[in-house]
Amino acid sequence: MIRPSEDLLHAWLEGALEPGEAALLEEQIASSVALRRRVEALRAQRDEDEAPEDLWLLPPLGHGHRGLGARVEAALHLDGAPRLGDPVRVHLRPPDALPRLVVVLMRASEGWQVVLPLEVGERFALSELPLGPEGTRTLIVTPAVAGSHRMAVVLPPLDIVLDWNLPEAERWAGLRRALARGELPVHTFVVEVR
Amino acid sequence: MSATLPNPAMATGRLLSWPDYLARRARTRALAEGALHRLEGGDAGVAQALLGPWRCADAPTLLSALLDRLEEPLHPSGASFAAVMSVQAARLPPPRRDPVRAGHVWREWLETQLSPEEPASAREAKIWALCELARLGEERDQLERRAWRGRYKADPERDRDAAWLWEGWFARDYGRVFYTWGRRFAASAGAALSAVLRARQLPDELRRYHLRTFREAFEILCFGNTGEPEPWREIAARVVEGGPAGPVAALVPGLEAPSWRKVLGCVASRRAWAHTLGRPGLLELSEPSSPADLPTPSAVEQAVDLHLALRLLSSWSTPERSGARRSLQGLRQGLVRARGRLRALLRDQEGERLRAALLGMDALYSRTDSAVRSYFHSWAWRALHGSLAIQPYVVTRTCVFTGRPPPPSRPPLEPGAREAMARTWVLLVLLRGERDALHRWAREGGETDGSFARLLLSAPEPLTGNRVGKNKDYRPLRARLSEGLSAVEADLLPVLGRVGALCEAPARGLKGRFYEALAPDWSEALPLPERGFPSMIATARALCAPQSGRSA
Repeated sequence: MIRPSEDLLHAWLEGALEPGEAALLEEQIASSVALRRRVEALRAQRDEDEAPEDLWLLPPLGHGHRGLGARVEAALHLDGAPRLGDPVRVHLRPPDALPRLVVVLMRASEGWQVVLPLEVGERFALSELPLGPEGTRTLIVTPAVAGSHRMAVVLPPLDIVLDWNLPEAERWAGLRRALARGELPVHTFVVEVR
Repeated sequence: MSATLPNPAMATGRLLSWPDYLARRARTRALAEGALHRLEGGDAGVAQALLGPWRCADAPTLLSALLDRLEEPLHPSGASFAAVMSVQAARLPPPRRDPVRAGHVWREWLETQLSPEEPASAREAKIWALCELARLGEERDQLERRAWRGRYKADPERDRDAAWLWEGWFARDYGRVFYTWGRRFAASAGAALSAVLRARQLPDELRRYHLRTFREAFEILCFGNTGEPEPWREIAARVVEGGPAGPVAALVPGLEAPSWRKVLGCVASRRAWAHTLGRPGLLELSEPSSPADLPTPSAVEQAVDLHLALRLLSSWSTPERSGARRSLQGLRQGLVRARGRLRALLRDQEGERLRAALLGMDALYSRTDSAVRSYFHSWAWRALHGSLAIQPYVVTRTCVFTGRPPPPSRPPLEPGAREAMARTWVLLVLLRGERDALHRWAREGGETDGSFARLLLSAPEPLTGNRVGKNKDYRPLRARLSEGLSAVEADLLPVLGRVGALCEAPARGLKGRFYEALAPDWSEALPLPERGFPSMIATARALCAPQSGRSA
């Protein structure tokens, strides 16, 4: 009997084989003590890859949730993109009139990171942003580095409790959970500067 | 919902002791001899009973097309012929280990135990072929019909939840699906990806990194990009094919007339199908002009079975393709392809059939979970083979899978040693003035030449993968730098500053001072540069200057 490959055994252990293939392999496993031992060894090595809890699960770029709309407006140069230092205006269309906090995230290589507020003094309410003619609120973003920046704005309730003494990952855990459940208005967008 | 280890005492019901297997083998052979004898007298009745598991045996025209093929040359290998026909098998001592085995395992084992024998006549070869067809017919029935039954467990609450989610997909109700779908099925999809990454023996840390990226991207990967078939529809088609009657029978009722025109076009135009089924009058899958004309599941099953059986017979004209394993693989491959094509048709056709077929199924949660696992298992292999990025959000993130782990002879590295080597190598590249080439390579990969190619050659072994022939595999190094290069460069600014400050130093003793400036940041894995100090110092100075236009 030819030894089934590791690929096949791992896939079987994770329930990823189609029924026919799984049945064939199960018969081989049932036919061979050595193969059963091998499978047991693989199973013992396998630790659970638990879903990481510190992920920001945000909608894809250009999409919003819970009624939050956003439009990015930037001064265009001849090459079609704003220059470093140009202000980029993000017109937020709030979903309701509730008092809300503004939290801005930016995608870094290691994942999403909160860039605003970073400390208690930087906390500000949506109502503090300039009011536009159509009820929009304008957030001005000025990236410090050229390139393509993926950003997100989240609008949690203004009375959200944030413990500034906690490390950053723990401080935002509640917000992350609420976002993963789709409970907060959020919008993602991209800002490009040259 | 991962699989549980089968217990031979109660598992499949297809396990046989050695005497039982021998008895079955002898019975099949006697039936095949009887079938051939009757066929020579113009009676196909016994052959029909022997080949019963092949659905094409139910239709006289199709059975006769299959039996006609027996008249063409058959050349089984000596080992395969002996395993089916040799009387020596009964004299073999029963194996001491694993006394109970599945039939296909015994059959494969026999090929390795008996002396090869050649068929004495074309008649013997026909008997061998009938025995093999009978055996493989049972395997076909098991693989693509019986194995699919009873695998999915109903759970009314979760099934309602899954139905609600599927309604959301079909209504393209983004808000409903996006958050809940991930919470229900991302872990299953991640398990399938993890199986592939484990099989490729990716280090735990790297595997978790990919799983993390994958989790962020999961929902979007189910939505898919414009211009490609929607992945969630493919998952839906996989759910449908898990119907109790077997995949082909489950997929067929969902197909509409335009899809059938494609099937018939395929039968007529593809060489393999045209060879087996394209003969006039053989198939009764006529061009559908109204919904009432659509082929029935049983007609399609008959066609698929005939095609597969004829393909097997064709392959047995070559001894190398007549072994037990090869034949079973050929059969599986044919089945997987046939239903893969039917699934693609169901996935791509417009209209309500897919939705209706899916929402009419029981155990929807369990079926969806299984379909998600199977879809993302295939997806992971495609991603791996294409070095494809898991692209969670428009911006490209390149994940390069390194394949095998380093050979065991390599001594284990200190924690952080690779990072130090990578930093040193980047420092060397920067000092040699190849920053732009480095960034381009880290971003886009591709061919390199000139100075940068020579610098790549100097990259220490632990930063590269296993050699492919004479060439180093630079994908691990590129993977390391594709996202972390800017951070490494930022870390190197102090040492570049120290080197750049040597521009005012006298030429005498410059080499020593240069090495002193490098020392705190230089890994011993790379030899120190031997020449070109003035130009390296000038480059370092330029890199540190604020007007240098560094953009990363």
